[in-house]
Amino acid sequence: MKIARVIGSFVLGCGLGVVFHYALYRMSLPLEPFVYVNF
Amino acid sequence: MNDLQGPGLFERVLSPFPFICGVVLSFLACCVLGRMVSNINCHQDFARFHNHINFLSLHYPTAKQTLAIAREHMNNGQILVIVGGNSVLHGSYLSDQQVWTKHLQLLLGDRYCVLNFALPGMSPTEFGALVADLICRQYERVIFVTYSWPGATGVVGEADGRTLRYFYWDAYHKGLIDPDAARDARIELLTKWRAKDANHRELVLRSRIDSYLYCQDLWTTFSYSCRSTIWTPMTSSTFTRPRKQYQDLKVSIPAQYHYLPENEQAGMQLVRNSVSRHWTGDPAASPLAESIRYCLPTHLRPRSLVLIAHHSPRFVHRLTASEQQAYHAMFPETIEAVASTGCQACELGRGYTELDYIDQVHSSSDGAVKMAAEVTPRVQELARQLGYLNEE
Repeated sequence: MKIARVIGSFVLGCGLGVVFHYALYRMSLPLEPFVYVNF
Repeated sequence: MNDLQGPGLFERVLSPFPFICGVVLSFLACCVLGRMVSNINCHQDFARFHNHINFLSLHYPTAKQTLAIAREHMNNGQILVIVGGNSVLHGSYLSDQQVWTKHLQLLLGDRYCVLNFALPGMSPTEFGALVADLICRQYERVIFVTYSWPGATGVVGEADGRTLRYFYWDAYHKGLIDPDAARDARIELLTKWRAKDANHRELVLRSRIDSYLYCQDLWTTFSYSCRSTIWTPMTSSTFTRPRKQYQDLKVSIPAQYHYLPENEQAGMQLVRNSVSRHWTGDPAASPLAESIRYCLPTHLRPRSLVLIAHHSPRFVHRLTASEQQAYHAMFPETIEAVASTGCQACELGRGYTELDYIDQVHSSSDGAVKMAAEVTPRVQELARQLGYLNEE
């Protein structure tokens, strides 16, 4: 039971770490697509 | 003090130390993975950054990813012809089989490898130009092709780009850019001018952080190869599909969409405005020449071919006689201004007909064939001058 708790905690932590990394990528994207004007 | 409450849910389920270890280790693993995939070319069978894999659909290829595409082609001993610039050289509105760089590759043959890094809305010296600059550090036989509008009072952009500045700063903070006196001086000036520009400060900070964490490289590769997570109007119903599954344009824009009536006035105004770009002073001191000097690094300029593009005769012929005279007089001065920087320059589109365009600037499929035929001997001549053909 304790091992399951440790492994579960580790896996959950891994997921959160990936989410943090992905969030940094998403924060760099603009809110709207660039509006291309022909020139 | 007595604790009358038992452990909470989190305290019962989570062990703090393994949890924090998981967070830290997975984050670091993502950083390492991002650094690894940044050097791998995931764009197999690359032809151009079509609209589903460029910024128009919120897909921002990084400097290292784009460099990986070019690097994959430099091992065959071919002469790399890197095309930069805007939608005109990107071949917007044309299918992947009718884009002018496809014809250019066929005409140049196997001795050359043409890579189209032009993107809609780019200035002549951003994105593709930076890739050419970066690849020159590793590979000698590079020719860069871009465009400019006629008139030496115009500028070719900014030292760090105009539309996609992220690309320059991404390369800069990853240590990919070599020093160049004129460009570095301009960047220093821009940094002072933009000291109070919060967007610019954020862009620079973001790029600096990303040079350690490699978030852009990892998740852009993931979005391209495995699963996209970015919703855009362009990919609305299938936005989770990996971007590599989206195909380039297979059908060119039909003739009924050429020269749309609602765009006629704007097109005419664009051409009329271009007549005012006539420069009366020394071409070497013109804004165009000065901007080329701080945008294109010194070592790239002798390998650069700048195409001074004509507008569609449908609009040029509607200018008054004096305006037409002034328009055509701009081409020699523009060529001279560009040549004073060390680049090669030539006209593109003289003698083309209305049918070779679909609007004031973009070529039709017929125009694309003519473009390739006109540029091919120029590229070959430049390759000869640079000594790339000395093995023959």
